[in-house]
Amino acid sequence: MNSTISQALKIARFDLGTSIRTSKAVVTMAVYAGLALLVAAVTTFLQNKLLAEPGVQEGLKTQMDQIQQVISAALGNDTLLANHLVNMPVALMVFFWLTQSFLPLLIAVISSDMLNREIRTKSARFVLLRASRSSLVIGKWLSHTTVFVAAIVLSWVVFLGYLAFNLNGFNLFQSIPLIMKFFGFTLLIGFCYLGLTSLMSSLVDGSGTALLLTIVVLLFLAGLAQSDMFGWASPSHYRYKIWSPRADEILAGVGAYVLFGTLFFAAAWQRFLRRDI
Amino acid sequence: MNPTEQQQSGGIAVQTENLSKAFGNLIAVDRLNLQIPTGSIFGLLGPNGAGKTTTFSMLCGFVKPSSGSATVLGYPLKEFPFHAGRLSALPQDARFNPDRTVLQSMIFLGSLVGLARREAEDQATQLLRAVDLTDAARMKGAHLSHGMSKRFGIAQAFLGRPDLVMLDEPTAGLDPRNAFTVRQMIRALAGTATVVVSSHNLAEVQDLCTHAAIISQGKLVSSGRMDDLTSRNQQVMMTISNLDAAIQARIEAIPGVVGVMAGGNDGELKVMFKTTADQKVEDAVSAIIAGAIAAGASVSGVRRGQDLEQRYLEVT
Repeated sequence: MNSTISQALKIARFDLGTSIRTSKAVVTMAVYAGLALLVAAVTTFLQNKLLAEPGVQEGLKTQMDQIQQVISAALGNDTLLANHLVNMPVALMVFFWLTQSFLPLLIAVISSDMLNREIRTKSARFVLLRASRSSLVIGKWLSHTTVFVAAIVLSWVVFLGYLAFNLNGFNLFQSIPLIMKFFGFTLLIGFCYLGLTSLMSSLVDGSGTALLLTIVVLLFLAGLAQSDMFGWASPSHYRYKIWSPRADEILAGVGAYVLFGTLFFAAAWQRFLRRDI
Repeated sequence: MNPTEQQQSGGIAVQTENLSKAFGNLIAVDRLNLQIPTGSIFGLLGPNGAGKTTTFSMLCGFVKPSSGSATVLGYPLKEFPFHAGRLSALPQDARFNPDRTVLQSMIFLGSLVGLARREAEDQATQLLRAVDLTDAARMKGAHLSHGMSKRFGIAQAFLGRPDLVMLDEPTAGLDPRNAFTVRQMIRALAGTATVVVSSHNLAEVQDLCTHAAIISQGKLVSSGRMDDLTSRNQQVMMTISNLDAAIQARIEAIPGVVGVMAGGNDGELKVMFKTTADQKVEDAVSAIIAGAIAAGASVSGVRRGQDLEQRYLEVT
């Protein structure tokens, strides 16, 4: 086991070095940071403009009950969640919602060649003469996770930095608990969908085909989440649980993402152990 | 007794039992039973599509057998520690990381077999020099020509201290100088490692290998020591310029000769012989040549055994 981990770390370091040299890691981080900056700029502009209108701030205060009712209705009459949400900074909410919605796609685009690239070129054969298949899978996963985490950290820094300097009334330090929570959930969502992408990458050798298949599966899972009978079988079903103010709901959401991520990754691992390279 | 001790005591580096691989309806390897002695340079021969590369791929752990079993260096294939660096290979058609330099890839592969960075770099530099790739050490994998990739593949196969080296078509596509260097590198491993070489170049295999197996349509059709496959110890091929029935009859009567037959070309005579218990093969061959000359034959050429090519053509 020690040997597997040690080999995995060597493979991860080499793969990460390749990502940096080919600018793939840099491009990934630039894309994440660019999107974060775009969201920050748009939400800040809209929020600053809206709040600058005469009487809007007073109106929002007096109409809070109605706003809460609208949000509650949109969330299936979850009054507690609606109350929780109206007290969150809008820009943060929008950013996390967009992250939840589009992070799986970004991960699919960037990591769809995680396992299949070296199988396609057969360069994995040189590694697999000297390292176990498990260490290759773990090494690749570690490398992609490192790039992903770095990109997420950068995107949050860019986003919050922009807000701190440009959004009127935004108190960074007051928002830190919520930011930490959203940041943690983002990593969790990333873990889950990195697992799904690695599974697709272990099943299909062409990276374009793997990307297409991942998108199809993502759409299918989004659709499945709406099903009354089988919604539980999709990670998307649990996306609003992690928004909840209730600890049990959050735990259920966190547990679901961890479970799905682990299942996806375990399936990718098992597939890689059994397939021809 | 652990697998390594078993392997050393048994003297078998690789053993397959009814090893088979099917790709859909195509049976690439069909119940292959092969024994590769420890320390041998073993040639794996066969026509295109015979199943040589698939056999290589199964023994290297790249491809899972459909049925049957194999032991590699004493371990069942499923339990073979591919991470231990005891097996290395030149896989056919495998390409190197296109985005890293030759030297970086070599150092990385060296680190996976436990070499420290400095040691890996030293070994990599030496091996790249041996295959005439010193100038290409800083080139990225994507920019290597076919021949350079092949030489790089050979260099990486010699990294570390492998007990078993499997080379799939190692000299195909190389110029004569590099092919010669590769053969020298393989010879240098004799005694310290078992080397398995797959090749279409029968003369090369005959010259290089101590043992060989011929595979055809996924099945083993012939296997053994090179001397036995080429009948080096049972047969001499003589070219006699004045060959006629009388001379042939006189040669057949030489003590030790058990049979003669005309060879493929004019004046060629295949002479089968048997040595006595206390007689060396070389002495028997000398006696036959001397006897033939005494019988009036004008001997213009003698070759021990038959060409591997002839054997190959007989069985495939």
